[in-house]
Amino acid sequence: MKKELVRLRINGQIREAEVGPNKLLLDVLRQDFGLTGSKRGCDDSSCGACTVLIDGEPQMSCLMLAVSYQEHEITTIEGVAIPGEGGSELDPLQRGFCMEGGAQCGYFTPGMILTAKHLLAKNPEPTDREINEALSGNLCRCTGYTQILSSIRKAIELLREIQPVEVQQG
Amino acid sequence: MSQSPALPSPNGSPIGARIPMVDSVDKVTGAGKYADDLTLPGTLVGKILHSPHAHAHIRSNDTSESERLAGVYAVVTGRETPVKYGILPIGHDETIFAVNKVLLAGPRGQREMPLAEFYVNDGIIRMAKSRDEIATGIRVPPTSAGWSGTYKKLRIRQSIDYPLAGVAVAMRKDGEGNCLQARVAVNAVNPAPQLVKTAELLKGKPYDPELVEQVAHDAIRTSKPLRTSASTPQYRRQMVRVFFRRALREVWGNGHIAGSAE
Repeated sequence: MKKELVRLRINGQIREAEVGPNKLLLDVLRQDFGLTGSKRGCDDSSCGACTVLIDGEPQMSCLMLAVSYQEHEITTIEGVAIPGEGGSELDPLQRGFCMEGGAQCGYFTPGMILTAKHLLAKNPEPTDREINEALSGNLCRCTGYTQILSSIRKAIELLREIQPVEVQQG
Repeated sequence: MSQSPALPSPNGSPIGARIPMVDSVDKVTGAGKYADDLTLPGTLVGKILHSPHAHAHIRSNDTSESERLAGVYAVVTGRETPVKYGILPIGHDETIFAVNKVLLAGPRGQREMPLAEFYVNDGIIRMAKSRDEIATGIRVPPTSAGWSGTYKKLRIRQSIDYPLAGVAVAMRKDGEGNCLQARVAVNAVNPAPQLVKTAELLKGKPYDPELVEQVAHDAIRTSKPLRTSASTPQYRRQMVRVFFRRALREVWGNGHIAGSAE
């Protein structure tokens, strides 16, 4: 199959690769760009380990052809930390997952964080039920969802502390 | 990892505080490397082809076409992996790839065995069935005329509770109350339910509390209750003794002899 040049906007950067038209976004991220934070769990959209944000919406990159997403803003786990002077700073969600032990084995964590990122962008004060519903497509085979829930609760707490500052600046 | 972001260090004493896992930052930033994330020079990639049919017999396996494909280094089948290699204790007889037959449960004809032989006193291989058999039923003798029996079960709650110890007695007696035939079993104190062999001693005898103690002692001596259950092994052994007395008095004694001291 003839390869073609794809230009993708990933984590705010334009990246290019020669790929076949049938290559999955997940494989382009992992193999062509070395962004291995997006994981392959089930390969059939059951587990959510490959979740990335497409224009802010969580999508499973194991189901998507890379060539179809050239006009979109793609965010992977590598783009979640907040860049700053002298190195980047963890996003409140990432801090929450570290502080509350929600990372566990870590394999499904990137997908969870991206899904939760979308949830909190849409709904900064979700109920536990809303969190569980939002994360229902992200499996955890360590099978401990309690710490994941408390990690997101922690992130909400951290965001509340940050919020007033942002309001003054805005 | 060059400039991976750090967690702010906690203030004060770590005692009573949640301490993040040392690799938690790598895990939440996607920087952590798992086996599937590594690309080493000269990596050979393996693919597994699964059988589309459960329980199929492999008559032939022609790999010549796959071997000719560009980039194929080798094709490995059950022929090349005859050595049994089970990772899990239940899978010691497994080969790496299917040999002769796809290993999934299925019928290979029917057979019967006495229930006492079906259970194996082994915590790992607990039933005397092959890997490709399932138990489809229990055949109960059509007549139980002349037999009576009882089952005493130790449990914490009354309903839907696993036994912590159990004694079962079945007996056929003559008109005088003498034992003609007896089967006594203990369960839940060994990996398998077990027939008590010394129950043979009851044959031809009238109810005898001393003989009951002897048989009970034999069953207790060979029992190995686990420590992991809701009560201590000592208590469960003691209850086996008590159940022997109660069960045999009920079935064998039948009120012929006034109750012993129990």
